[in-house]
Amino acid sequence: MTSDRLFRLIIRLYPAAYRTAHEAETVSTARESLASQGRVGATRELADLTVHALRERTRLTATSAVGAVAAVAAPLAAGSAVALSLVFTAFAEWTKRRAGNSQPAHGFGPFATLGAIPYLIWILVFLAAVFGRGAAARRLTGIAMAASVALVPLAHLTHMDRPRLYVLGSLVLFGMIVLAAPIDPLGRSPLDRRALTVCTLVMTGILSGISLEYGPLWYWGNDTIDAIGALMPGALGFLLLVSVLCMRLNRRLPFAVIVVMFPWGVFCYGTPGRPSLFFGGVVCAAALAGFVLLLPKIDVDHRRDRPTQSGPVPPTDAG
Amino acid sequence: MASKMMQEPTLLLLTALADEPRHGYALIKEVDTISSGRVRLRTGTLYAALARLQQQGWVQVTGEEVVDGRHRRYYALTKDGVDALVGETARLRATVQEANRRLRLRGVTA
Repeated sequence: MTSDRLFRLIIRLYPAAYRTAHEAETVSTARESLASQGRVGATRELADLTVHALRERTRLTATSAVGAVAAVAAPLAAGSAVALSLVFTAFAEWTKRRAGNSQPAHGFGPFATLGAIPYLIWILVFLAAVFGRGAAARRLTGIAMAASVALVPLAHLTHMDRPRLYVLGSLVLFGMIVLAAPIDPLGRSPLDRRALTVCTLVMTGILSGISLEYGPLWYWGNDTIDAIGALMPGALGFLLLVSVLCMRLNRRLPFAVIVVMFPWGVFCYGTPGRPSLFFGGVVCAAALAGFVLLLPKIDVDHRRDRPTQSGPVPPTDAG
Repeated sequence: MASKMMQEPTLLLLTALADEPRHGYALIKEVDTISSGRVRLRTGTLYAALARLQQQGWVQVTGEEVVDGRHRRYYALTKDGVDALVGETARLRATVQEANRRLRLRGVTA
């Protein structure tokens, strides 16, 4: 495929409304920018344009309500993923292996399963964000998602054990929420270190407490996840209530809580036949009802770019 | 305005618009020049930032024209945008003055 065909294909990714308003301008700027760069620079330019087009198409931009919700949900999602990774690494991967009673027994080095790979990458995401490396944290999030997906064929090929799909699936969904959050040029990073640290500590504390009360988390025949599932509707109700009360501080918070509840629902109720499957239906119904009820409360100011005057202005020396 | 966090590319973008309206590619070049080649804005990132700055009311479109078959749309700072840039500049100036004062105490001149 020639670079020109690829370029036109990328432009086609933009939604029709955006193309009507901005295509000529975007194409002119991108062509000039591409012409002044080498092969690597041009590849980055096209990748950046692709991301922008996809964000415009999905409305996951810093100027949209959906993007604003994703930005608030990102630290909650990342904190959840890091907390699950910490707790599973400590209570499942490491402890079970040391106890010698892992079931089944095809471990990965010092760990019980291949799950240690995405867990350790999520812990690196946390460290990168805490040390202010937002871009690195986002890249590592993508790597953690890819690793979670790759574990399925990898486990098949190597005959090593892997975590069950409800764990990997929830981690992938948490990662998708983090990457969906747009970077606001006038705001904090979606992986803001303070918000992420608070979320991670709270989630890790809750999960550790449940593990100590009901027994360590494990992938097979484990009552602890059922206990988390039974607590989930109450936790959702409590969090929604708190977030609604805090809507003056951030009116997107209830939506963010609802968004993050979906991967938690996959984690708690992702295995068919669990006795707590009923609660899964309750959580999903409550989440959808809350979303619909709160939808009118959220709005983002859309003062977009209609020219205040038409006609040419004096060209600059740069143009 | 002052409560908004301004990341470096945003500050550079506002700085590039401080003297006169500019179109997209001119902004990319200006930011590159002002930052001595450190920050290279990509097209997608540029238009995402401009949309956010327009939504904030700091930047507005002032005109359009076609030059050699290339569509140009010109962007300029609004009064709020100028105020925001003045505020951020004052904040940075105060930080630099304080850093210089403390360095002088160590006998170092920046």
